[in-house]
Amino acid sequence: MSAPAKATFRKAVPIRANLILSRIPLVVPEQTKIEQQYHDYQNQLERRMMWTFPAYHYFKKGTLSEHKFLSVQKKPIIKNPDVWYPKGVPDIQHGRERSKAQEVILPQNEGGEGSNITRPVEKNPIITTADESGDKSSLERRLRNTLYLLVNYKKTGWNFPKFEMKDGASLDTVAENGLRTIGGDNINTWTVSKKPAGVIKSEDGSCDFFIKSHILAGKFNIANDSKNDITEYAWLTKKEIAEKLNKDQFQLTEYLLTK
Amino acid sequence: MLSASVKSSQKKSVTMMTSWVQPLNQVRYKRTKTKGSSGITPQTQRIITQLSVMSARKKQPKMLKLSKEDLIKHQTIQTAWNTYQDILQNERQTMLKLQYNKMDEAMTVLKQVAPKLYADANINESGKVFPMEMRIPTDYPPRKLWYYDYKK
Repeated sequence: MSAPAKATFRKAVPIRANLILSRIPLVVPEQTKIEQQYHDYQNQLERRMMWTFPAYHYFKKGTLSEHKFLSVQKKPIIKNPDVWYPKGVPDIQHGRERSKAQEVILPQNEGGEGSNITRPVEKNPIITTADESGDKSSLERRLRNTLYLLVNYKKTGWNFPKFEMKDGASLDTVAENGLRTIGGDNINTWTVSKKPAGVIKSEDGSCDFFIKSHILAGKFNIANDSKNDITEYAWLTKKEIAEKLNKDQFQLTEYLLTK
Repeated sequence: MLSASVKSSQKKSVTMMTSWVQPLNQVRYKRTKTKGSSGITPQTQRIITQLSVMSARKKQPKMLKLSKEDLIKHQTIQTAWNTYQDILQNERQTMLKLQYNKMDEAMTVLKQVAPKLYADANINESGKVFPMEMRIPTDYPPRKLWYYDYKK
């Protein structure tokens, strides 16, 4: 078994494991105009075809809660034999005009206290403080995009973190352990696969293999030992990476990145 | 003589009552039977209400009747949406194909360059699942954006 392996190892080429560490988006991508319009249309259709809300099941007859509920509902136009209705004669069942979508309004508390489940939903802002201050080392920026870790090497400039192979270790372990040596132990990642997602063959014969991984928790902090090699790091979107890397290098790695 | 006097007093009182107060001849107790002839218990009534929630009777809206023009509009919208989905699907497929080819290329290079690493990379990983800590993107961000205090 060892004989053929040794024969191929004779011409040992320098191999490096590159790590593409990504933070997946926290917020879904923004809807395009056509998506928004289509979903609006479908929503309206669905509401029109919806069954009448059975209020009698949720509010007992004659109770205060029933009164509260009924008092905030919009009353439909009542059928009167002496009246001419240009938009069709009203057809009301269970207090709902059957030819229209029903609008169910939930009664709100006067004070708007926190315990009330019908309180209006407060949405957290999608543009964060890190976005406003332009802090590129924060993981809390660009919540709609996938962010990738780029480090600034003193000798070669901005690039994905790359590690020289150590004997015996596989590509993914070298990449993951290397990340801990430059970025500290307090980082939780999940390697997608042991198989490399891509390769760049350089002119001098060296090979750069790319391993994909996701950050789940923790923080990347440049360790004291590696501060001589690495000056800074950043979490960047694909667009920003295109500006940091040189053109050829970006073209070779473009397919690995998403918006 | 005594009895006669009692009788006379009773007579007197009766005549007094009829003069201005009606005698109490009817008392209302708590109702034990439901109104109407059906006579269903509250338990049965509750079941009927619950079943009526699920039944379509009296709850279905009027049928949607589209004019010819509206129908054409609707069909156009659907076709446009399907075309848009096709475009997205094509983009996704070509990207996946490209990524697969690049992976294939990387593995063939690895096989030539370092057979041992190639064997390591080919270890079967079936059964590998996404971790529990991974978060699914939502419409709006959570209150705590990122968990920085992770300790190994």
